[in-house]
Amino acid sequence: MKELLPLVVTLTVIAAVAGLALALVYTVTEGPIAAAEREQTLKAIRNVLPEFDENLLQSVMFGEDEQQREIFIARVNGGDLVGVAFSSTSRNGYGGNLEVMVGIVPEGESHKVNRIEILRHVETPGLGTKIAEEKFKGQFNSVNYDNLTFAVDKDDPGSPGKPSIDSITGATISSRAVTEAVQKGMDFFLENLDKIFEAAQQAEGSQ
Amino acid sequence: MSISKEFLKGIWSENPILRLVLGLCPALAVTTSMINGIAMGLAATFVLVMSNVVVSLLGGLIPKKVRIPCFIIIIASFVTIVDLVMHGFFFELWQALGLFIPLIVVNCIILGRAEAFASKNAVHYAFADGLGMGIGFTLALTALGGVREIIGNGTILGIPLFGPDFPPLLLAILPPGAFIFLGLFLAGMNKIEEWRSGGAREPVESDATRAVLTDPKALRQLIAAEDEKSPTAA
Repeated sequence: MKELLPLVVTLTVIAAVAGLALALVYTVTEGPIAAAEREQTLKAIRNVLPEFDENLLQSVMFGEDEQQREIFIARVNGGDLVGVAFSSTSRNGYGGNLEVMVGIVPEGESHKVNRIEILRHVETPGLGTKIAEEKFKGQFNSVNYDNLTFAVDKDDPGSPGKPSIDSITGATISSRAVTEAVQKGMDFFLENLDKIFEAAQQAEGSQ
Repeated sequence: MSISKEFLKGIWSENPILRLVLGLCPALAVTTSMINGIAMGLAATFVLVMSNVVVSLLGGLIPKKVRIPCFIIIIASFVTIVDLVMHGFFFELWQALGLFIPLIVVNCIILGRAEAFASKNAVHYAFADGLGMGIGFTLALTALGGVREIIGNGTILGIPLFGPDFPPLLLAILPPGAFIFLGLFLAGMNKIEEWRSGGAREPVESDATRAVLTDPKALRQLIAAEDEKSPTAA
C-alpha cells in the first residue's frame, strides 16, 4: 500500500493537470472550430446553388435518428426560393464513405440538380481524387431524371438525350459512388419534397 | 556533451527517419505531397519539443514504475492541443492529415526520446534534442513528400512544374511509392555515410542486437538493465 501511494498520486496529479490544460485549450479553440466547420459547409452551399442571401439561409433538421440530416433552404431578398442544399452519402467509395453536397433548384414544374461538391472522401490520391475536379463533377450540372441516366458509362451507356456519366479512367468505383450519392440525394428530395417545405415553414413560424 | 551536438545529431547522424528508421507509419502515409510532409513534421516537432521539456522537468519526480503511462498522458495532451488548434485555425491541413495527427501519440520517436533522452538529461539538452529530432523528422518528410509530389503529380507545393503535357508517375503517390522512395532515400543516405567514413562497410549487426531481436528473454534483460541505470529510479 505504501509503495502504491506515490504511484497513484503522481498519475492522478499528471492526469488532472493535463485535463485542466486541455480544457483551457478547448475553450479557446471551440469557437474557431465551429466557425471553420460552418464556413466549410457554407462554402459548399455557395458552390452548389446560385447566388442567395446568406442571412436568409435556413437550416432544417429532417428525418429521425440515424436518418436525420440537415437541409439548407436558400432564399433571396424578399423570400423567393433559390434552392435547397443537403449532403448525401454513398457507402460504396473505394476508401470508405463518400459525402457529396447536392444543390437542387426548381425548374419549371420539376426540379434539377444545380451543381454538386465533394465534401469528404477517402479515395486513392491521383486516381479517385479526380472526382473533385470540375471535369468530372461538372457532369452533374443541371441534371435530372429527364436528361441524365444516373449510372456510369460502364454500367449503362445511356440513351440519346439521356447520356450517362463518363467515369474516370482507373477510378470507376469512385465515379460510381459519386453518381450513387447524387442519385440518392435526388430521390430523397423528390420523395420528401412537400415535407421539407412544410418543415421549413414550421421552423420559420416558430422563430 | 554540448547543446549544439544534441541539436545537430537529430538532423543528420541520428535522423529519426533516415538513420534510426523510426516513426515510419506517418512518414509513409502522409507524404503524398510536400505540404503534408511539412505540416506533419511541424506538428510532430511541437509535440516532441514540448513533451521532451516537460518530461525532463518532471524526470526526477515520476516514480519509475509509472513513467510510461505518465509520458503517454503528457504526449497525448500535447497531441490533442495540436489537433484542436489545427482543427480551428488550419482546417484544410487538418482535413488532409486526418487520422495521422491523433496518431502522433503512438509515434515511437516521441516516446523514444522521452524515455531514452529527456527523462535522463537536463531541460536545455532535452529541448535541443527534441528540436533537432523534430527538424530532422520534418526535413525527411518534406524531402520525401516533395520528391513524391514532383514525380507523382508533376507539382511542387501545388504549383505545376512541367506544363500540362507531363504524364505523372502515379505510382509515386500511391502507397507502394512511399516504400520505394523511402528505400531510395535510405540507400542514398547510407552511400553518403559510406563516402564520409571513407570506404564501404559491412552491414553492422552486433551480437547484442541480434539476441534482442530474436530472443524475448534478452530483450527483457536489456530493459531491466536500462531500468537499473535510469536516474529516474524511485
